Amino acid sequence: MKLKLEKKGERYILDCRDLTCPFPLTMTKLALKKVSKLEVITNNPPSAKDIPELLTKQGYKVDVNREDGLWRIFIQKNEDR
Amino acid sequence: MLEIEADFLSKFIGKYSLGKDGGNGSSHFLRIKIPGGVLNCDSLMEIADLSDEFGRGYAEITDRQDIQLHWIDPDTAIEIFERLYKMGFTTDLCGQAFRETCHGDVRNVVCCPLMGKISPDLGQLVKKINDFFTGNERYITLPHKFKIAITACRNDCVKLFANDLSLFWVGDGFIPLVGGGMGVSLPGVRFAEPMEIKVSLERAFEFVKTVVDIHNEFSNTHSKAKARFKLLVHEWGVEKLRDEIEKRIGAFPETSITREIVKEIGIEHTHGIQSDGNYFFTVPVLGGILDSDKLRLVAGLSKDYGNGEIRLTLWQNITFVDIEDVETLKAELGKHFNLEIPHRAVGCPSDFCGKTLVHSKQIVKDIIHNLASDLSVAVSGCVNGCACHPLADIGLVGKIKHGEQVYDLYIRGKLVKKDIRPEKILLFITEGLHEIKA
Repeated sequence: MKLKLEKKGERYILDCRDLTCPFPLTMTKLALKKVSKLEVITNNPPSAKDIPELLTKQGYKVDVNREDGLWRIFIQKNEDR
Repeated sequence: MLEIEADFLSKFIGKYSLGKDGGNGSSHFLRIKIPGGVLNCDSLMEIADLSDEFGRGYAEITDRQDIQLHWIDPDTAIEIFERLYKMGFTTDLCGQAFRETCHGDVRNVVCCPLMGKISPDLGQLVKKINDFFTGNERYITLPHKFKIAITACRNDCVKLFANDLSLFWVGDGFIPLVGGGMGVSLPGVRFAEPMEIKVSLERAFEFVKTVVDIHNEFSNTHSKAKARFKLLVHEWGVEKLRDEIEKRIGAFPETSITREIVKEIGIEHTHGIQSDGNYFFTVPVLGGILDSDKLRLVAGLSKDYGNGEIRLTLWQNITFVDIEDVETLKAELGKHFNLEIPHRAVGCPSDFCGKTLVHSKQIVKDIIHNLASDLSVAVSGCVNGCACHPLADIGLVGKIKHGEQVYDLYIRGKLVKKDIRPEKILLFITEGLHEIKA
């Protein structure tokens, strides 16, 4: 299988809807090996909690927007690192 | 479009997941499906290793014959899945965290812990059902989870009335029971009803598949509270369900057997002689709580005294099978387990899900240690009814009221007292039992 990341402006979008934990996190980490700005979409509440927690600890800048039962998690490498 | 190679994940998606915890400092649990509760000593040793490496050395037997680990770091989950994959095990898909419907899977197929030992061996049927539904794309987006129980021992050791579909062996076929569920989701607590037909062993798989197909096609997909199969059965009635099944796969012979055929609800096979003259012996495990050392001990003893096979029970206990020298085994087990406690006592893992202030397993312990009785005890921490409290002699269901933990008490399925504070539970159990006797 392949992860398909759509490009939107400067960032790539990883759609993880309907995937159970921990796959959104695993895929996010995989994607971040290839891109520096990523938007992850998930409707899985545990993943919406795990991804920001873990990546913030790892030094990424993370913002989360929640709309219509979906979480959009914006991740980028922190310039201050 | 950027494409990233992720082939290593394809064998896990749809077959493995972590569940959501919210207590005891655990955020994620791992529920390993053990089809029919049948496990060999090598697998048990490896699960003990997983528990040590990833789950703080803790393990629980669930009331669906799974083994559940906690404190799982989602960052290491793929490594655990790889190990389970090599062992031939999968996990529940744990879609309950999703707020929408259509994340349901077929849960661990539970079976009489003594299948093949005191009754016909249904291992092939259990395996066929498990293999067919696990990871099958068509069946991992069910409206809601689906629970199947099978027994051939002519006893209710599998909580027949609590399942979406139960198959109860009557000597020349199965009587199906449909539409059970002990939680608050609509239409509320509902005991599975027998269908007045008999399903042969040869047709059992297609029957099960057809019932799950009907759940998939007709159960509600708009509201989680309405998405369990029990609501469909409640709305349709058993006759309409039977018509739909027979329209698809042909008629089944009629029988007039009713639920009274199940003489005692919720039995446990504690000890006895197998068909081949060997013995079985069930160790009571309070609340199903074990640790990795005990898992290894059990694995070792199963090899030393039997053929290395053990069975997990729906009362969260461990059954040793194929034992020749049962007295020596008991003496060994007695050094590590309290063999005097009752076998029929279950508590949901509310300490981990975080829905209780005074936890279910603690309540179970208090009752067991203070009430000298062989009555069955089931304590659910919340209205989801995971411990199947309506089926026990003494059933309790917890809720938080005005910031305080209280429990409602059921005696043999009948609500006898609401909103009891934990310290008063024993008093009301005693009173409730007197009332029932009177």
